[in-house]
Amino acid sequence: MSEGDAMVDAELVLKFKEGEESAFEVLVRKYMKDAYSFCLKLTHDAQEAEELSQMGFVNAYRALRGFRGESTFKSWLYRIFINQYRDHLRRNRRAEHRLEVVREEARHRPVVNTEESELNAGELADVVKEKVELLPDRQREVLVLHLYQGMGYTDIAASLGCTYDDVKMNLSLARKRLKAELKEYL
Amino acid sequence: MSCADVRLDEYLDDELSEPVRTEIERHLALCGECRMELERSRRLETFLRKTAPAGQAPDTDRFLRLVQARSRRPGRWMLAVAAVALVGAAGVILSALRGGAPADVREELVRYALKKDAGQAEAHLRAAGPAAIPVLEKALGDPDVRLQVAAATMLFKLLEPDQRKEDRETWNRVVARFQSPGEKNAGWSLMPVGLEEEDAEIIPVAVSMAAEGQERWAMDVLKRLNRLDALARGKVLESVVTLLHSDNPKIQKLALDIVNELGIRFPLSEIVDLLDSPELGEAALKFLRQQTGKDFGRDKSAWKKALEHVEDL
Repeated sequence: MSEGDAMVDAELVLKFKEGEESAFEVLVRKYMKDAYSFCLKLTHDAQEAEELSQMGFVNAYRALRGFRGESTFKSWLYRIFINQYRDHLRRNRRAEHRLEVVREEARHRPVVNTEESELNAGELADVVKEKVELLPDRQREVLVLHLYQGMGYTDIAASLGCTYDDVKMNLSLARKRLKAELKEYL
Repeated sequence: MSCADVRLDEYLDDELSEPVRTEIERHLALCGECRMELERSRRLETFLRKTAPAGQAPDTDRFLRLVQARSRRPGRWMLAVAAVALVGAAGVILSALRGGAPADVREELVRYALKKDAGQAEAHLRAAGPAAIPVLEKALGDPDVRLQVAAATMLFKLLEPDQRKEDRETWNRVVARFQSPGEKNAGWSLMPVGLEEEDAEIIPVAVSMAAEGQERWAMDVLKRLNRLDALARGKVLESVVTLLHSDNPKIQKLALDIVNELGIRFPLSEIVDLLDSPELGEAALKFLRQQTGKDFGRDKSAWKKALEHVEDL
Protein backbone atom coordinates (compact mmCIF):
# COMPACT_ATOMS: atom_id res chain seq x y z
CA MET A 1 0.00 0.00 0.00
CA SER A 2 1.41 3.37 -0.98
CA GLU A 3 1.89 6.18 1.51
CA GLY A 4 -0.44 8.33 -0.55
CA ASP A 5 -3.16 5.70 -0.29
CA ALA A 6 -2.77 5.56 3.49
CA MET A 7 -3.06 9.34 3.63
CA VAL A 8 -6.24 9.33 1.58
CA ASP A 9 -7.66 6.75 3.99
CA ALA A 10 -6.59 8.80 7.00
CA GLU A 11 -8.36 11.86 5.56
CA LEU A 12 -11.51 9.84 4.96
CA VAL A 13 -11.42 8.53 8.52
CA LEU A 14 -11.04 12.06 9.80
CA LYS A 15 -13.98 13.26 7.72
CA PHE A 16 -16.08 10.40 9.04
CA LYS A 17 -15.17 11.29 12.61
CA GLU A 18 -16.23 14.85 11.88
CA GLY A 19 -19.65 13.57 10.92
CA GLU A 20 -19.35 13.04 7.19
CA GLU A 21 -20.98 9.62 6.86
CA SER A 22 -20.35 9.45 3.13
CA ALA A 23 -16.62 9.11 3.85
CA PHE A 24 -17.29 5.62 5.16
CA GLU A 25 -19.12 4.76 1.96
CA VAL A 26 -16.01 5.70 -0.01
CA LEU A 27 -13.93 3.39 2.21
CA VAL A 28 -16.36 0.51 1.75
CA ARG A 29 -16.32 0.96 -2.02
CA LYS A 30 -12.54 1.07 -1.99
CA TYR A 31 -11.97 -2.06 0.11
CA MET A 32 -15.06 -4.13 -0.50
CA LYS A 33 -13.69 -6.33 -3.29
CA ASP A 34 -10.40 -6.94 -1.47
CA ALA A 35 -12.27 -7.73 1.73
CA TYR A 36 -14.59 -10.15 0.00
CA SER A 37 -11.69 -11.85 -1.77
CA PHE A 38 -9.81 -12.12 1.52
CA CYS A 39 -12.79 -13.70 3.29
CA LEU A 40 -13.30 -16.04 0.36
CA LYS A 41 -9.68 -17.23 0.58
CA LEU A 42 -10.17 -17.91 4.27
CA THR A 43 -13.57 -19.58 4.11
CA HIS A 44 -13.66 -21.04 0.59
CA ASP A 45 -17.38 -20.31 0.63
CA ALA A 46 -18.96 -17.43 -1.29
CA GLN A 47 -21.91 -17.00 1.06
CA GLU A 48 -19.80 -17.06 4.20
CA ALA A 49 -17.33 -14.69 2.57
CA GLU A 50 -20.05 -12.17 1.78
CA GLU A 51 -21.49 -12.45 5.27
CA LEU A 52 -18.11 -12.06 6.95
CA SER A 53 -17.06 -9.16 4.79
CA GLN A 54 -20.37 -7.37 5.35
CA MET A 55 -20.24 -7.85 9.10
CA GLY A 56 -16.61 -6.77 9.09
CA PHE A 57 -17.62 -3.44 7.58
CA VAL A 58 -20.57 -3.13 9.99
CA ASN A 59 -18.18 -3.59 12.91
CA ALA A 60 -15.69 -1.21 11.32
CA TYR A 61 -18.42 1.41 11.03
CA ARG A 62 -19.26 1.02 14.70
CA ALA A 63 -15.66 1.12 15.85
CA LEU A 64 -14.25 3.72 13.47
CA ARG A 65 -14.80 6.69 15.76
CA GLY A 66 -12.51 4.97 18.26
CA PHE A 67 -9.77 4.29 15.67
CA ARG A 68 -6.67 6.10 16.89
CA GLY A 69 -4.58 5.85 13.75
CA GLU A 70 -1.83 3.83 15.37
CA SER A 71 -1.71 1.63 12.29
CA THR A 72 -2.94 2.26 8.76
CA PHE A 73 -6.67 2.09 8.24
CA LYS A 74 -6.16 -0.92 6.00
CA SER A 75 -4.31 -2.91 8.69
CA TRP A 76 -6.93 -1.95 11.22
CA LEU A 77 -9.71 -3.01 8.85
CA TYR A 78 -8.10 -6.37 8.20
CA ARG A 79 -7.74 -6.88 11.90
CA ILE A 80 -11.50 -6.57 12.14
CA PHE A 81 -11.98 -9.10 9.34
CA ILE A 82 -9.58 -11.49 11.03
CA ASN A 83 -11.44 -11.16 14.34
CA GLN A 84 -14.72 -11.65 12.52
CA TYR A 85 -13.32 -14.79 10.93
CA ARG A 86 -12.03 -16.11 14.26
CA ASP A 87 -15.41 -15.49 15.91
CA HIS A 88 -17.03 -17.24 13.01
CA LEU A 89 -14.73 -20.23 13.41
CA ARG A 90 -15.24 -20.38 17.14
CA ARG A 91 -18.96 -20.40 16.99
CA ASN A 92 -19.29 -22.61 14.01
CA ARG A 93 -18.99 -26.05 15.40
CA ARG A 94 -20.06 -27.41 12.08
CA ALA A 95 -16.85 -25.99 10.65
CA GLU A 96 -14.89 -27.70 13.38
CA HIS A 97 -16.72 -30.91 12.67
CA ARG A 98 -16.05 -30.49 8.96
CA LEU A 99 -12.39 -29.99 9.72
CA GLU A 100 -12.41 -33.16 11.80
CA VAL A 101 -13.89 -35.00 8.85
CA VAL A 102 -11.19 -33.55 6.59
CA ARG A 103 -8.51 -34.58 9.07
CA GLU A 104 -10.00 -38.03 9.35
CA GLU A 105 -10.20 -38.39 5.58
CA ALA A 106 -6.64 -37.18 5.22
CA ARG A 107 -5.47 -39.82 7.68
CA HIS A 108 -7.13 -42.61 5.75
CA ARG A 109 -6.65 -41.44 2.20
CA PRO A 110 -4.88 -44.13 0.21
CA VAL A 111 -1.62 -43.08 -1.37
CA VAL A 112 -2.28 -42.85 -5.08
CA ASN A 113 -0.41 -41.41 -7.98
CA THR A 114 -1.70 -37.86 -7.85
CA GLU A 115 -0.17 -36.32 -10.92
CA GLU A 116 -1.58 -32.88 -11.57
CA SER A 117 -2.77 -34.02 -14.97
CA GLU A 118 -5.00 -36.62 -13.35
CA LEU A 119 -6.96 -34.12 -11.31
CA ASN A 120 -9.26 -31.56 -12.77
CA ALA A 121 -9.06 -27.95 -11.64
CA GLY A 122 -11.86 -28.36 -9.10
CA GLU A 123 -10.27 -31.40 -7.49
CA LEU A 124 -6.93 -29.68 -7.37
CA ALA A 125 -8.51 -26.67 -5.68
CA ASP A 126 -10.09 -29.05 -3.13
CA VAL A 127 -6.71 -30.58 -2.35
CA VAL A 128 -5.20 -27.13 -1.79
CA LYS A 129 -8.17 -25.99 0.27
CA GLU A 130 -7.80 -29.03 2.49
CA LYS A 131 -4.09 -28.47 3.01
CA VAL A 132 -4.54 -24.78 3.74
CA GLU A 133 -7.42 -25.49 6.15
CA LEU A 134 -5.22 -27.87 8.06
CA LEU A 135 -2.59 -25.21 8.72
CA PRO A 136 -2.62 -23.76 12.23
CA ASP A 137 -4.82 -20.62 12.34
CA ARG A 138 -1.98 -18.12 12.58
CA GLN A 139 -0.06 -19.69 9.70
CA ARG A 140 -3.17 -19.70 7.52
CA GLU A 141 -3.95 -16.06 8.31
CA VAL A 142 -0.42 -14.92 7.59
CA LEU A 143 -0.30 -16.88 4.36
CA VAL A 144 -3.60 -15.51 3.07
CA LEU A 145 -2.75 -11.91 3.97
CA HIS A 146 0.64 -12.21 2.31
CA LEU A 147 -0.11 -14.29 -0.72
CA TYR A 148 -3.53 -13.06 -1.77
CA GLN A 149 -3.74 -9.60 -0.26
CA GLY A 150 -0.14 -8.74 -1.10
CA MET A 151 0.62 -7.38 2.36
CA GLY A 152 4.14 -6.91 3.69
CA TYR A 153 5.24 -8.32 7.05
CA THR A 154 4.78 -5.02 8.90
CA ASP A 155 1.18 -4.58 7.76
CA ILE A 156 0.39 -8.22 8.49
CA ALA A 157 1.80 -7.84 12.00
CA ALA A 158 -0.42 -4.78 12.55
CA SER A 159 -3.47 -6.63 11.23
CA LEU A 160 -2.91 -9.67 13.39
CA GLY A 161 -1.70 -7.83 16.46
CA CYS A 162 1.56 -9.79 16.54
CA THR A 163 5.23 -9.04 15.96
CA TYR A 164 7.15 -8.83 12.70
CA ASP A 165 9.14 -11.91 13.74
CA ASP A 166 5.93 -13.86 14.40
CA VAL A 167 4.84 -13.11 10.85
CA LYS A 168 8.21 -14.16 9.46
CA MET A 169 8.22 -17.40 11.41
CA ASN A 170 4.62 -18.36 10.66
CA LEU A 171 4.93 -17.64 6.97
CA SER A 172 8.08 -19.68 6.80
CA LEU A 173 6.45 -22.60 8.64
CA ALA A 174 3.38 -22.45 6.38
CA ARG A 175 5.56 -22.53 3.29
CA LYS A 176 7.68 -25.37 4.58
CA ARG A 177 4.65 -27.44 5.41
CA LEU A 178 2.85 -26.76 2.14
CA LYS A 179 5.96 -27.48 0.10
CA ALA A 180 6.11 -30.87 1.77
CA GLU A 181 2.38 -31.57 1.55
CA LEU A 182 2.00 -30.46 -2.05
CA LYS A 183 5.36 -31.59 -3.37
CA GLU A 184 3.86 -33.81 -6.04
CA TYR A 185 2.22 -30.78 -7.67
CA LEU A 186 5.22 -28.44 -7.55
CA MET B 1 27.49 -16.47 3.75
CA SER B 2 26.45 -20.05 4.50
CA CYS B 3 23.15 -21.63 3.44
CA ALA B 4 21.88 -21.39 7.04
CA ASP B 5 22.27 -17.60 6.92
CA VAL B 6 20.35 -17.16 3.71
CA ARG B 7 16.97 -15.62 4.44
CA LEU B 8 15.22 -16.97 1.37
CA ASP B 9 11.65 -16.22 2.44
CA GLU B 10 12.44 -12.63 3.20
CA TYR B 11 14.37 -12.37 -0.04
CA LEU B 12 11.39 -13.73 -1.96
CA ASP B 13 9.01 -11.38 -0.14
CA ASP B 14 11.17 -8.33 -0.76
CA GLU B 15 11.59 -7.66 2.94
CA LEU B 16 15.35 -7.14 2.91
CA SER B 17 17.54 -4.12 2.47
CA GLU B 18 19.44 -3.75 -0.77
CA PRO B 19 22.89 -4.72 0.63
CA VAL B 20 21.49 -7.94 2.14
CA ARG B 21 19.70 -8.78 -1.10
CA THR B 22 22.92 -8.33 -3.04
CA GLU B 23 24.75 -10.60 -0.64
CA ILE B 24 22.07 -13.28 -1.00
CA GLU B 25 22.14 -13.01 -4.78
CA ARG B 26 25.89 -13.59 -4.66
CA HIS B 27 25.28 -16.73 -2.59
CA LEU B 28 22.52 -17.91 -4.93
CA ALA B 29 24.84 -17.61 -7.91
CA LEU B 30 27.15 -20.13 -6.24
CA CYS B 31 24.70 -22.46 -4.44
CA GLY B 32 22.48 -24.79 -6.46
CA GLU B 33 20.61 -26.10 -3.40
CA CYS B 34 19.46 -22.62 -2.30
CA ARG B 35 18.48 -21.81 -5.89
CA MET B 36 16.32 -24.94 -5.96
CA GLU B 37 14.73 -24.09 -2.64
CA LEU B 38 13.92 -20.59 -3.87
CA GLU B 39 12.48 -22.05 -7.05
CA ARG B 40 10.29 -24.45 -5.02
CA SER B 41 8.97 -21.49 -3.00
CA ARG B 42 8.16 -19.61 -6.21
CA ARG B 43 6.41 -22.63 -7.67
CA LEU B 44 4.39 -23.02 -4.47
CA GLU B 45 3.22 -19.39 -4.66
CA THR B 46 2.25 -19.75 -8.32
CA PHE B 47 0.44 -22.99 -7.59
CA LEU B 48 -1.45 -21.56 -4.60
CA ARG B 49 -2.52 -18.48 -6.58
CA LYS B 50 -3.63 -20.61 -9.52
CA THR B 51 -5.78 -22.87 -7.35
CA ALA B 52 -7.17 -20.19 -5.02
CA PRO B 53 -10.93 -19.89 -4.75
CA ALA B 54 -12.10 -17.15 -7.04
CA GLY B 55 -15.55 -15.77 -7.44
CA GLN B 56 -17.40 -12.75 -8.63
CA ALA B 57 -17.47 -10.20 -5.82
CA PRO B 58 -20.98 -9.16 -4.81
CA ASP B 59 -22.52 -6.15 -6.49
CA THR B 60 -20.97 -3.12 -4.82
CA ASP B 61 -24.17 -1.05 -4.50
CA ARG B 62 -26.16 -3.92 -3.04
CA PHE B 63 -23.30 -4.78 -0.68
CA LEU B 64 -23.09 -1.16 0.46
CA ARG B 65 -26.85 -0.93 1.04
CA LEU B 66 -26.72 -4.05 3.21
CA VAL B 67 -23.77 -2.75 5.22
CA GLN B 68 -25.59 0.53 5.77
CA ALA B 69 -28.80 -1.21 6.80
CA ARG B 70 -26.99 -3.47 9.24
CA SER B 71 -24.95 -0.62 10.68
CA ARG B 72 -27.98 1.25 11.88
CA ARG B 73 -28.13 1.19 15.63
CA PRO B 74 -31.30 -0.16 17.19
CA GLY B 75 -33.58 2.57 18.43
CA ARG B 76 -34.42 3.31 21.98
CA TRP B 77 -37.32 0.89 21.92
CA MET B 78 -35.14 -1.39 23.97
CA LEU B 79 -35.40 0.90 26.94
CA ALA B 80 -39.10 1.29 26.32
CA VAL B 81 -39.61 -2.47 26.42
CA ALA B 82 -37.51 -2.86 29.54
CA ALA B 83 -39.25 -0.02 31.27
CA VAL B 84 -42.65 -1.37 30.36
CA ALA B 85 -41.67 -4.77 31.66
CA LEU B 86 -40.41 -3.40 34.92
CA VAL B 87 -42.76 -0.65 35.93
CA GLY B 88 -45.79 -1.87 34.06
CA ALA B 89 -46.32 1.36 32.17
CA ALA B 90 -49.37 0.98 30.02
CA GLY B 91 -50.37 1.28 26.47
CA VAL B 92 -47.44 0.37 24.33
CA ILE B 93 -48.51 -2.32 22.04
CA LEU B 94 -51.99 -3.74 21.94
CA SER B 95 -53.37 -0.42 20.87
CA ALA B 96 -51.60 -1.10 17.63
CA LEU B 97 -53.39 -4.36 17.18
CA ARG B 98 -56.60 -2.96 15.80
CA GLY B 99 -55.60 -2.70 12.15
CA GLY B 100 -56.49 -5.05 9.34
CA ALA B 101 -54.70 -8.35 8.84
CA PRO B 102 -51.97 -8.43 6.23
CA ALA B 103 -52.24 -10.96 3.46
CA ASP B 104 -49.70 -13.31 4.99
CA VAL B 105 -48.51 -12.95 8.56
CA ARG B 106 -45.96 -15.69 8.19
CA GLU B 107 -44.48 -14.03 5.16
CA GLU B 108 -44.09 -10.82 7.15
CA LEU B 109 -42.51 -12.78 9.99
CA VAL B 110 -40.01 -14.32 7.59
CA ARG B 111 -39.15 -10.85 6.27
CA TYR B 112 -38.77 -9.65 9.83
CA ALA B 113 -36.58 -12.63 10.73
CA LEU B 114 -34.40 -12.21 7.67
CA LYS B 115 -34.24 -8.45 8.11
CA LYS B 116 -35.70 -7.73 4.72
CA ASP B 117 -37.40 -4.38 5.30
CA ALA B 118 -37.72 -5.50 8.91
CA GLY B 119 -39.22 -2.19 10.04
CA GLN B 120 -42.01 -2.45 7.51
CA ALA B 121 -42.53 -6.13 8.31
CA GLU B 122 -42.82 -5.30 12.02
CA ALA B 123 -45.36 -2.59 11.25
CA HIS B 124 -47.41 -5.09 9.24
CA LEU B 125 -47.23 -7.63 12.04
CA ARG B 126 -48.42 -5.03 14.51
CA ALA B 127 -51.18 -4.01 12.12
CA ALA B 128 -52.30 -7.61 11.76
CA GLY B 129 -53.74 -7.42 15.23
CA PRO B 130 -54.73 -10.53 17.17
CA ALA B 131 -54.64 -12.51 13.92
CA ALA B 132 -50.85 -12.46 14.13
CA ILE B 133 -50.65 -14.13 17.56
CA PRO B 134 -51.46 -17.76 16.59
CA VAL B 135 -49.05 -17.57 13.65
CA LEU B 136 -46.31 -16.26 15.91
CA GLU B 137 -47.06 -18.93 18.50
CA LYS B 138 -46.77 -21.61 15.86
CA ALA B 139 -43.45 -20.16 14.70
CA LEU B 140 -42.03 -20.66 18.21
CA GLY B 141 -41.73 -24.32 17.25
CA ASP B 142 -40.31 -23.66 13.79
CA PRO B 143 -37.17 -25.65 13.01
CA ASP B 144 -35.50 -22.46 11.83
CA VAL B 145 -34.05 -20.77 14.89
CA ARG B 146 -34.25 -17.38 13.19
CA LEU B 147 -38.02 -17.70 12.99
CA GLN B 148 -38.16 -18.81 16.63
CA VAL B 149 -36.19 -15.76 17.68
CA ALA B 150 -38.25 -13.43 15.52
CA ALA B 151 -41.52 -14.90 16.79
CA ALA B 152 -40.47 -14.67 20.45
CA THR B 153 -39.27 -11.10 19.92
CA MET B 154 -42.51 -10.07 18.24
CA LEU B 155 -44.65 -11.81 20.85
CA PHE B 156 -42.75 -9.97 23.51
CA LYS B 157 -43.42 -6.72 21.70
CA LEU B 158 -47.06 -7.48 21.03
CA LEU B 159 -48.09 -8.83 24.41
CA GLU B 160 -48.02 -6.23 27.10
CA PRO B 161 -47.57 -7.25 30.72
CA ASP B 162 -51.27 -7.41 31.54
CA GLN B 163 -51.99 -9.54 28.57
CA ARG B 164 -49.14 -11.85 29.42
CA LYS B 165 -51.00 -12.73 32.58
CA GLU B 166 -54.23 -13.33 30.68
CA ASP B 167 -52.62 -15.21 27.86
CA ARG B 168 -50.43 -17.25 30.16
CA GLU B 169 -50.20 -20.19 27.85
CA THR B 170 -48.62 -18.23 25.00
CA TRP B 171 -46.38 -16.35 27.36
CA ASN B 172 -45.24 -19.54 29.06
CA ARG B 173 -44.16 -20.87 25.72
CA VAL B 174 -42.07 -17.77 25.10
CA VAL B 175 -40.55 -18.11 28.56
CA ALA B 176 -39.96 -21.83 28.03
CA ARG B 177 -37.81 -20.96 25.07
CA PHE B 178 -35.48 -19.24 27.45
CA GLN B 179 -35.66 -21.72 30.25
CA SER B 180 -34.71 -24.96 28.56
CA PRO B 181 -31.76 -24.14 26.40
CA GLY B 182 -30.40 -27.65 26.48
CA GLU B 183 -33.46 -29.65 25.56
CA LYS B 184 -33.66 -30.48 21.95
CA ASN B 185 -36.98 -29.58 20.34
CA ALA B 186 -38.32 -28.34 23.65
CA GLY B 187 -36.33 -25.30 24.55
CA TRP B 188 -34.72 -22.28 23.10
CA SER B 189 -32.18 -23.33 20.53
CA LEU B 190 -29.49 -20.89 21.51
CA MET B 191 -26.87 -23.56 21.81
CA PRO B 192 -23.44 -23.10 20.22
CA VAL B 193 -24.45 -25.29 17.29
CA GLY B 194 -26.80 -23.29 15.13
CA LEU B 195 -25.99 -20.01 16.80
CA GLU B 196 -26.53 -17.35 14.25
CA GLU B 197 -25.88 -13.68 14.29
CA GLU B 198 -29.65 -13.11 14.14
CA ASP B 199 -29.92 -14.61 17.62
CA ALA B 200 -28.50 -11.37 18.95
CA GLU B 201 -31.95 -9.88 18.27
CA ILE B 202 -33.12 -11.59 21.41
CA ILE B 203 -30.78 -9.56 23.61
CA PRO B 204 -33.23 -6.74 24.38
CA VAL B 205 -35.86 -9.36 25.16
CA ALA B 206 -33.50 -11.17 27.53
CA VAL B 207 -32.62 -7.88 29.19
CA SER B 208 -36.29 -7.14 29.60
CA MET B 209 -36.91 -10.59 31.03
CA ALA B 210 -34.18 -9.97 33.57
CA ALA B 211 -35.97 -6.75 34.44
CA GLU B 212 -39.12 -8.76 35.06
CA GLY B 213 -37.47 -10.68 37.84
CA GLN B 214 -36.38 -13.64 35.74
CA GLU B 215 -32.72 -12.85 36.31
CA ARG B 216 -31.29 -16.31 36.64
CA TRP B 217 -32.09 -17.72 33.24
CA ALA B 218 -32.12 -14.35 31.49
CA MET B 219 -28.52 -13.94 32.65
CA ASP B 220 -27.79 -17.38 31.30
CA VAL B 221 -29.15 -16.38 27.89
CA LEU B 222 -27.22 -13.12 27.99
CA LYS B 223 -24.02 -14.95 28.89
CA ARG B 224 -24.31 -17.18 25.86
CA LEU B 225 -25.19 -14.28 23.61
CA ASN B 226 -22.33 -12.25 25.00
CA ARG B 227 -19.99 -14.97 23.80
CA LEU B 228 -21.60 -15.11 20.37
CA ASP B 229 -19.56 -12.53 18.49
CA ALA B 230 -18.38 -8.97 18.59
CA LEU B 231 -21.70 -7.70 17.28
CA ALA B 232 -23.66 -9.49 19.99
CA ARG B 233 -21.27 -8.20 22.64
CA GLY B 234 -21.83 -4.74 21.24
CA LYS B 235 -25.58 -5.20 21.51
CA VAL B 236 -25.37 -6.45 25.08
CA LEU B 237 -23.20 -3.49 25.96
CA GLU B 238 -25.56 -1.14 24.19
CA SER B 239 -28.58 -2.51 26.01
CA VAL B 240 -26.74 -2.18 29.32
CA VAL B 241 -25.81 1.45 28.59
CA THR B 242 -29.42 2.15 27.67
CA LEU B 243 -30.61 0.65 30.95
CA LEU B 244 -28.02 2.62 32.83
CA HIS B 245 -29.43 5.85 31.42
CA SER B 246 -32.86 5.03 32.76
CA ASP B 247 -34.33 7.25 35.47
CA ASN B 248 -35.39 4.20 37.41
CA PRO B 249 -32.80 3.05 39.99
CA LYS B 250 -34.05 -0.54 39.78
CA ILE B 251 -33.28 -0.65 36.08
CA GLN B 252 -29.92 0.98 36.65
CA LYS B 253 -29.13 -1.59 39.33
CA LEU B 254 -30.05 -4.33 36.88
CA ALA B 255 -27.56 -2.88 34.40
CA LEU B 256 -24.82 -3.06 37.03
CA ASP B 257 -25.78 -6.64 37.85
CA ILE B 258 -25.54 -7.61 34.18
CA VAL B 259 -22.13 -5.97 33.84
CA ASN B 260 -20.91 -7.81 36.94
CA GLU B 261 -22.43 -11.13 36.06
CA LEU B 262 -21.20 -11.15 32.47
CA GLY B 263 -17.80 -9.68 33.25
CA ILE B 264 -18.36 -7.08 30.53
CA ARG B 265 -15.53 -4.69 29.87
CA PHE B 266 -17.55 -1.61 30.50
CA PRO B 267 -16.90 2.10 30.01
CA LEU B 268 -16.25 2.87 33.65
CA SER B 269 -16.96 6.57 33.18
CA GLU B 270 -20.62 5.56 32.75
CA ILE B 271 -20.56 4.13 36.26
CA VAL B 272 -19.00 7.22 37.80
CA ASP B 273 -22.19 9.16 37.07
CA LEU B 274 -24.06 6.82 39.39
CA LEU B 275 -21.95 7.77 42.42
CA ASP B 276 -24.40 10.55 43.28
CA SER B 277 -27.38 8.24 43.30
CA PRO B 278 -28.72 7.55 46.80
CA GLU B 279 -29.86 4.08 45.72
CA LEU B 280 -26.90 3.08 43.59
CA GLY B 281 -23.96 5.11 44.84
CA GLU B 282 -22.68 2.34 47.08
CA ALA B 283 -23.00 -0.35 44.39
CA ALA B 284 -21.30 1.92 41.85
CA LEU B 285 -18.42 2.65 44.23
CA LYS B 286 -17.95 -1.03 44.97
CA PHE B 287 -17.93 -1.79 41.28
CA LEU B 288 -15.34 0.90 40.52
CA ARG B 289 -13.11 -0.28 43.36
CA GLN B 290 -13.29 -3.85 42.09
CA GLN B 291 -12.55 -2.93 38.50
CA THR B 292 -9.69 -0.52 39.13
CA GLY B 293 -8.24 -1.46 42.50
CA LYS B 294 -8.43 2.25 43.37
CA ASP B 295 -10.64 4.19 45.73
CA PHE B 296 -11.59 7.84 45.38
CA GLY B 297 -14.77 7.58 47.44
CA ARG B 298 -17.65 9.55 45.94
CA ASP B 299 -15.32 12.11 44.35
CA LYS B 300 -16.54 12.00 40.76
CA SER B 301 -13.93 14.34 39.31
CA ALA B 302 -11.08 12.33 40.89
CA TRP B 303 -12.53 9.12 39.44
CA LYS B 304 -12.96 10.67 35.99
CA LYS B 305 -9.40 11.94 35.99
CA ALA B 306 -8.05 8.55 37.01
CA LEU B 307 -10.18 6.73 34.46
CA GLU B 308 -8.96 8.81 31.56
CA HIS B 309 -5.76 6.80 31.78
CA VAL B 310 -7.33 3.47 32.61
CA GLU B 311 -9.73 3.60 29.65
CA ASP B 312 -6.95 4.48 27.26
CA LEU B 313 -5.54 1.03 27.84
